[in-house]
Amino acid sequence: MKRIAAVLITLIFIFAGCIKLDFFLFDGDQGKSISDTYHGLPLYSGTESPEWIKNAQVEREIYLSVDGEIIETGDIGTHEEYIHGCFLPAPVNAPADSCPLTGKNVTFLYTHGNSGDLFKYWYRAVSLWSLGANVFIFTYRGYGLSEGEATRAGIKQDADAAAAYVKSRADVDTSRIIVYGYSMGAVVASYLTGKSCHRNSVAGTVLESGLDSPEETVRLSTGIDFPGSFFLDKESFNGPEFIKDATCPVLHIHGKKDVRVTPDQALNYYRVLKDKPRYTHYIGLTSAAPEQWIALADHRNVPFTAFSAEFHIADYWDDPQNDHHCCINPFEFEEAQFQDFLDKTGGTDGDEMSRTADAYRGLISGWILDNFNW
Amino acid sequence: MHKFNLSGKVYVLFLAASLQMLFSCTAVNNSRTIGKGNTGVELSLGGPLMTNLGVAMPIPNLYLGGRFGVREDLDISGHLNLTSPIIPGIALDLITSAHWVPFQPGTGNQSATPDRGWSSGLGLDIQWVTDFKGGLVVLPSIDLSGSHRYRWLSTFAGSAFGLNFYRPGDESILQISPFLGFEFITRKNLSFCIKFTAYDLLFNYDGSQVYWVYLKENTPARQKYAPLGISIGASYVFTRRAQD
Repeated sequence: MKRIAAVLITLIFIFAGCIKLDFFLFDGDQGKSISDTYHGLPLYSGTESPEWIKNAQVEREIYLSVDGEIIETGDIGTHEEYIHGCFLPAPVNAPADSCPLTGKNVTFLYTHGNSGDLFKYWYRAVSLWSLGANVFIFTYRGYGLSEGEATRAGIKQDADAAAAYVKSRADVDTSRIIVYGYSMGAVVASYLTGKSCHRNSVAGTVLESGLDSPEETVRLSTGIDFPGSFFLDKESFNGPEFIKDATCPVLHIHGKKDVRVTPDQALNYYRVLKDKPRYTHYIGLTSAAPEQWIALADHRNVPFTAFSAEFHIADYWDDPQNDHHCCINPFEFEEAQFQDFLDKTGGTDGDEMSRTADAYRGLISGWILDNFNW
Repeated sequence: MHKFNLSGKVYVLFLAASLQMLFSCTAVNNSRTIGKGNTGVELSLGGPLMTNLGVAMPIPNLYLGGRFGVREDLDISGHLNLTSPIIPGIALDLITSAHWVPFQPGTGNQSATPDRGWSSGLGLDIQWVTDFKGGLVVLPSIDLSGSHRYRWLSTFAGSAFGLNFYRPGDESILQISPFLGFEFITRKNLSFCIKFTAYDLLFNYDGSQVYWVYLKENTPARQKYAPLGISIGASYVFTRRAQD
């Protein structure tokens, strides 16, 4: 009996050492069907959509194999691994004054953050779409309607598949693809940028509130730099390492009040990109006007910094009264609608909300128009 | 492989629990020895306080230890972390110690020692942590402590000085962790401890994803120092002399 107990204890120790924390790193919510997960989220939350929004034909169910090949909806059950994405074709006849990228045939490839599913980031994608651009947003395996297990290698493969798909679309100008990475998606965007920039297949990259790496998160939390494989998968998943050799333009935004992915992680990107001539950063290091705006931003509200008061959009996000538990695109709200929302979230007035939303849109579109001869 | 669908908060809890083992500090009064030839067993539970789950709760590190009195003024001990096998990453967390207490009111059977007086001691801890794949992490430290016993209550205080050779970047490798504890000594060789520790005074934890309770915090200046911790423990001494 004692011998059996000794063997069991030894085995527990040995196998415990084989477990890696990456099990807990990826925090996706899996969905059952498009109707369950989509929540009927619209492109517009106001009472009367403009015609150019009404006429939008969003492709909400695109399923791709891990090689980026289309899987017909009826056949997805025969695949063990696939990813789900949505394509928002650039709005037609959109007013050029409010949609400055109209007619430029720009496409954003959106790589989302670590938690939830695709539709948690829906209005972030819609914000970019409303600039007048195509947007393809996909979700990693193990998240939302994408099937499979989320791993570092798997997520990189998913990004490759999404990029291959976007490039294969006839309505996409493959020389005008901007990868937009938010939070953990910044690592994925950096991976795509580093992998493809030498072939010029990604025109530029936007990093918003970007995670450096899981290892950096551990290091900052503990003050201990462990041997590489101590807690985490050995597969490389380090944004600055991926993007350090990029030659394409990079726009880097990171809120100074971000406590989830702290600005320390932004500095790691800055260190590898600062000497590159086409690196633009708003991470609180200069006195440029956008820095003042960024100085108010937390992790989840760079696009919506008017909420960066005592309460902000994150509070509403977690509010059980919010049916969608999703982000909101405040500039699409009618004044009366979001006044009630504002009352709950700090009393910021609607004009300031609109100005802030415009600041974000202006920053993204201005960077594209300034850096690319499109 | 099985899909773990855990929330981010649970992930952070496990992460923190795993990593804070390296700040481990057992709830034992090391400023008195147990007497030459005696042996003891010790149990300790607790660690740094975190608030990720909504309330301040200590990391539940559980240590089981044994102690042997080499001389009247010198003990050696070992403490094994019983939590480590169930936490991802760490397979083994062992603390080996030697404590020399030249000044103390008495040693040996607790009921036989003088019931009041001052003591002071010096200890050497070496912590061995491994995951069997990533390799062995060795963290040495020394601790200085003093205590005052009045009848059944021994109040002890001091500081551990650890050398963290795995400190990232240019940060100092020195970890200073002062502590304050209270030991309640019964007449049956049994004692109970509660110990409060301020971990790692010098390192700025501003980038931490774990919501520690800090001794000193200055949010605008982005400074967060010394996560606070609490642990409780119990120890029992088998006295050879009593058996004789």
